[in-house]
Amino acid sequence: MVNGGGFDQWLEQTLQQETAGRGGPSPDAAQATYHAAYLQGGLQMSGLATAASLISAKGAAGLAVAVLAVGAAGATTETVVTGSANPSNWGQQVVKQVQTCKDALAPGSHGIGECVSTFANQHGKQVSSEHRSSGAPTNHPSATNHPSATDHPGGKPTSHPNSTDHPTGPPTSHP
Amino acid sequence: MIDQPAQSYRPGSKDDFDRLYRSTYQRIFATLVIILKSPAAAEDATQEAYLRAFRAWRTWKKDAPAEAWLVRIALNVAFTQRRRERLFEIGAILRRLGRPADPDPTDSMQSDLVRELRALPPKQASAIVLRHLHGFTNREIAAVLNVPERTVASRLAAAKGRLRSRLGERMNTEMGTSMPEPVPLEE
Repeated sequence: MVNGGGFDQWLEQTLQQETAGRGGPSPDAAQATYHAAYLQGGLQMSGLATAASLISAKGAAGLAVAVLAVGAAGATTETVVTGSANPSNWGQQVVKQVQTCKDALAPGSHGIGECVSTFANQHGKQVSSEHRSSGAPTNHPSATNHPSATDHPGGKPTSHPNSTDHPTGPPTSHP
Repeated sequence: MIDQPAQSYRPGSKDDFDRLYRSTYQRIFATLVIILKSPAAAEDATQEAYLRAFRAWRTWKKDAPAEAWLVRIALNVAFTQRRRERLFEIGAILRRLGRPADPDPTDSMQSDLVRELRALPPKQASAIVLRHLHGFTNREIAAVLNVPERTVASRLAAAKGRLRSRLGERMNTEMGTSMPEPVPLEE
């Protein structure tokens, strides 16, 4: 009778025989690709990647939702408020906040997603309100002709390649 | 299990990763030789796997053995590389206008088991390698693959069912056992 145990045993023995003597080159860490990359400094993570790696999967999901919600609304306003279209400022803030949230946790415990999400939400609300109250010019002077632009501030901003070059410039033709 | 206790590794520590590399390299390489065709390809894939693992080392969680985590990354690299090889082979066949390629001398050196293992779907092959070559428990495999334990059991059962149907006769010959006639199940 070929029972499961017999087959398993045969499987394991055969696999061990197949791999026996196939150890390959010497496992000297100094000769490894990752070591070379490490020495060249090629393994640095970006700010956002570091943030993502620091938080749990659940936290990442919460953060992603929060950042998406805020990011969509803030994509245009971030440029106006910070004067920079580079999201690394925001990324660095998130990294700092993640570390702060981690420090606030008891050792060994998890779940900083809520803490980070709260920060992201607050940031988003702050940026949005600042943008509204400042009456900052939008990059879409003809936005009133497009109600959806104001009805859905969280929507994906339409692309205007010259918008950063001429933030206060005359209305350009809307595609 | 030759792997160091999980507690002895600190995620993100370069020294610990070096130690992990030294203690697991031979087995990871040997595993990839099974999945890939040539030792050279296996060596490349092994190095690529450790590079990826090192990039993600700070995200490794101690609830799964470090070696199992590494094997998973290595298998992903190997299966990706194998897909590329197959695409290349298809391209080569098209360039030859459908004429078959010259026989690969390494094919005759493969055992039937290795050939059948390579023919399995990657998820099933991974489960077999983790369970029956590296000796991880279903629970450990489930943790490292981030799937329920019953999913691991189901993949193993499907893989072994296929291997048994293809290799049962050979196994019987080698082990001196005989396969009984299948008994029909009563309704």
